[in-house]
Amino acid sequence: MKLVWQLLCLGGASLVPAAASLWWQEDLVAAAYEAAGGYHVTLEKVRDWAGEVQWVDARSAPEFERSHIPGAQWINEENWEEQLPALLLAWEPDRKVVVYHRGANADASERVARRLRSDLGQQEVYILQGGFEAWQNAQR
Amino acid sequence: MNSPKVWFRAALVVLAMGAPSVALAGLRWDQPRLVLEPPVGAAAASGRFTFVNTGTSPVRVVDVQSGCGCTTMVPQPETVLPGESGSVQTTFHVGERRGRQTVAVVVSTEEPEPRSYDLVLEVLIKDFVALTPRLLYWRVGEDAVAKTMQLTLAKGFEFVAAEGEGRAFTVEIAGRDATTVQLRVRPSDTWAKRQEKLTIQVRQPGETTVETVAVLRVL
Repeated sequence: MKLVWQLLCLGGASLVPAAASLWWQEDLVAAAYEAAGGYHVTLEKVRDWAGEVQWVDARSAPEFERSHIPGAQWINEENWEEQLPALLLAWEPDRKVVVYHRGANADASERVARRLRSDLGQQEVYILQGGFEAWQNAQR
Repeated sequence: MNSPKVWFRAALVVLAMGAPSVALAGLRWDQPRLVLEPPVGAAAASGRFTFVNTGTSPVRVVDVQSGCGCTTMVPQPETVLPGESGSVQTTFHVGERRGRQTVAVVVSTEEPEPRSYDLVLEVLIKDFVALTPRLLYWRVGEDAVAKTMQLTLAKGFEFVAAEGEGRAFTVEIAGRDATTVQLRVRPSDTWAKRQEKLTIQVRQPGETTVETVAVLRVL
């Protein structure tokens, strides 16, 4: 009985630094949440947020110029410093941010979303499942 | 029992079993995943995917495609004779990318049949300066309390200055050590909407000054 009690105490004590570590390392928590698909949202879900969305187009310049979701701000990893101020000036705190890329390029959306969470200092930056094609197909 | 015949048949069986592997032999890649870690502030990172032609026919590298326009990939040589080694010289252009970049690479060959190989390029890019967050805001009518942003510098970089565009916000250094600078920002008032860009300059000794921008808003 004493041994079980000691093991429980040891296990409980080890949870304290683990919890503290998770609390402080928000990036790790965010990355794990993202890996689990927590930041990925469907177009239907986004439409439920009506009027409270800041779209972010992370595709290339020619793709953005050809067509984009109305109101989207264009920013990607190649023009970050040039385009970020415009996004920071356009964003409103009540708006959730939704990033999209080409449907097949989820990695790029995730990297842009991760940087935006850090730069905006807020966690509500999501990734559109299926990318731009999902929005385009819904218009047909 | 005719021993030579048995051995001959056994040899035929072994050859038949080996035939598919000979047909599949082609380029053997030493590392199908190449990891590059460019120095802080580097404009590009280079490395090589190396291979050996383990087949019996010459292999011609006809195309190398990557999932990012940020790479330059050159196969050397274009035609690889049996037993010969070669490489795909890879250059990753960092630009304004940060963090872990994973790029899918597809090498197409003629051996002489068409074939393709899937490789992965991974680049770990460290920030020379990180400002968190890059946006501070106050609501109209809210108390004009000070808020803080933290500048984290890579080794060898030093903070030079933080300058706003106008006088709507005051910026002061709240604390600093070798790698971090705490900037305390306060709006002069929150009566009306206003916004300003804050330019932060950092320098690597002997190099030019680099600027990064934050945004301050009353909204």
